[in-house]
Amino acid sequence: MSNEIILNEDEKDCLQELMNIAYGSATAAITEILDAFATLSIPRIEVIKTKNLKNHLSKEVNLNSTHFVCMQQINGPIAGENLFVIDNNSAKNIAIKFGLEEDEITEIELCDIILEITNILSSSTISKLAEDMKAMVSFSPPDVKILDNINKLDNQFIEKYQNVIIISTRLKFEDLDIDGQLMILTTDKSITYIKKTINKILNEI
Amino acid sequence: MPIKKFEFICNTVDNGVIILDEDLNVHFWNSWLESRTNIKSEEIISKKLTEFFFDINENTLKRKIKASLALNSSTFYHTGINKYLLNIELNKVANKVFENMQQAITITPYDKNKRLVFLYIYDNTLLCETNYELEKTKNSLEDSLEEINLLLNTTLEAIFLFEDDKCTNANDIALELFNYSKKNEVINKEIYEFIDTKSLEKISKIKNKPIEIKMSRKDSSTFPALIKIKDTKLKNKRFKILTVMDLSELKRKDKLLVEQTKMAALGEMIGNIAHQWRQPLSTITTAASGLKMHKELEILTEDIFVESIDAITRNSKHLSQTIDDFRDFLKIDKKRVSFNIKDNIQRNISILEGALKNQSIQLVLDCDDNCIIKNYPNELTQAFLNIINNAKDAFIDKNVDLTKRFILINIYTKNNNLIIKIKDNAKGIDPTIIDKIFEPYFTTKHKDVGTGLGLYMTHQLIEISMNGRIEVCNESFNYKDINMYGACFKLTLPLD
Repeated sequence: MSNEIILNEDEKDCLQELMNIAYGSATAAITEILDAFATLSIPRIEVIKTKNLKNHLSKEVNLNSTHFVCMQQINGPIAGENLFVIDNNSAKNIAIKFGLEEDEITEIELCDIILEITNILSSSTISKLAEDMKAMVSFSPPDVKILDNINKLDNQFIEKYQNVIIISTRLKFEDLDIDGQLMILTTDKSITYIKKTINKILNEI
Repeated sequence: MPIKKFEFICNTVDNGVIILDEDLNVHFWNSWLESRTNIKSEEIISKKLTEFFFDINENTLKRKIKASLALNSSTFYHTGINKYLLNIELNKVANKVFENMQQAITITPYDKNKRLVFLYIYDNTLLCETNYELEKTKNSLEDSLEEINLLLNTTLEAIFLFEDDKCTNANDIALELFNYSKKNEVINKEIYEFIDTKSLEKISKIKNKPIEIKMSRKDSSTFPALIKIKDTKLKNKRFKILTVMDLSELKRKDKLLVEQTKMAALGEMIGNIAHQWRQPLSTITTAASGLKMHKELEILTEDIFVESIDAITRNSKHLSQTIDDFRDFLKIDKKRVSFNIKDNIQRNISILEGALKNQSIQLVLDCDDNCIIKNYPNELTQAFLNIINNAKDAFIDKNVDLTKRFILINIYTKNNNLIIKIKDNAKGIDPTIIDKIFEPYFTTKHKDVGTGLGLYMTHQLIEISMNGRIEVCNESFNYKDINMYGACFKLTLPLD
């Protein structure tokens, strides 16, 4: 795989726009399912080398306190992994949003809810992006880990690749203190596909 | 898809398939579920799923169905978290870990208008059992690791582990001994960074054997230590285990013992000097006062004057000579020299002469005139004096008849060794303590008299410095037709 898998400014802008549309769809889905108004911040797009991923994540995600890190594999032309990171307090607030009472909130319940929210975010964002890029994607069941150190994130899947696109955003609920970070990590092959599709879209404009 | 084909597929797949609406009413129930739940399709269709499975969380399932329909994408139940959706008891008898089938569920939208979804139920029991076994093994490994760490941290030695010459682990004692506060500080350091640069040459020569060298702390200060480096291979990886025992305290104690031993020897010597000097000093005093008296009475003749002055000069010279003898004795021998054993022993006896005479002890020496030995003469003197002094004290202690106090010294060569046997008839050493008499601080004497270091010092001098052997036993013997019983010290020294 070539080392020149990078996105130029136009390509980044285009991808950002596509992600914005996808996030619109995601927030609409969350609002419908949870009956609560959620916002996703404007996505930030970066292409970094895989070997720098852990370092990047440790800077981006404050893992000094306990966090839930949920991963979901994306299969298809846009292959990769969705990473949703949320702190304990925000997770509890999401649980309340899901209709749980304070005394019902256990670690297992929280994990279940984080899995659900990750699935909702993954499906809504990537499905829309894939639809716009005319690709078929499917999702594997998500998995969740409770981490307090980035080194505990042993991601063999990611290490097979040279570069990853990181599309990061923050999920916020208007009336509740919920702050989670969603990162879409895509891989070499997908970057080539995304680049190709974006250029096709750019040419059509 | 024709209904028959659809049902054929659904009834032959190896997982459960349910079609549910958002109110949880069952629209399809496949054969896989019939056989596992013993609920027939016709019994459950058009009925609510929760009527058959009471422990389903209705809200969660409804939310997941709603999400799936809203997203037009799958939602899931995770086995690791939810364990199961449908409570299906397992019929397994042997090696059973779970009571119920462990399930993963995928909820996929089927008909958005009719609000229908597919529920795929996967039996993950086998996977969960494997995970359970793995978790059990992991816990057991963690326990073992904890035990090993506990073991490592309860030893007296500092232990470092090196993998391919880089430190990968160290016990708490190691961190404390080398003044490191965190394990991270020693990780990746190489072995030579813990050793004093002057000692580095020594370790290249040893292999799997303990060696005494100087180690270097974090602040570059050094300390004496006994170390061992063990090389080992594990799964093609090269490991070195460095064990370090701090000798600082032992060295300090050793030094203290040597100093105490020297002081004890000095004390003994002062006792001997007092005995040696009493007689000549008395002669000098008598001669001087005699001179004064003769002068006062005006009867001082030339002859008396010369005789008295000669006596004073002779005895003063003798005193001066004894000072030389004692000074020689207190000197530490720097190197082995060849010396005549009889001359040495006779000189030693002359040092003790006063003390022995005072206690009416007769000393008998039986030794060849020309026996030469290469060793440290002053160390032999110290050892010899200690044994004789001990015998002298035993005579006093045991109150042996003043007319029958004997010390017999027999010196001969055998198998390239010099044997010195020193026997007394002071009734012997108590058999219950005879094995302990060479230990430091062991004494039977009153604390004002004995330090408990005399025979320990003798033992160290003979065995460590002179490379010989010292043994003791109680023995009966006959001398001058009298049967006697006492201690016998046997010194064995190499001739060269």
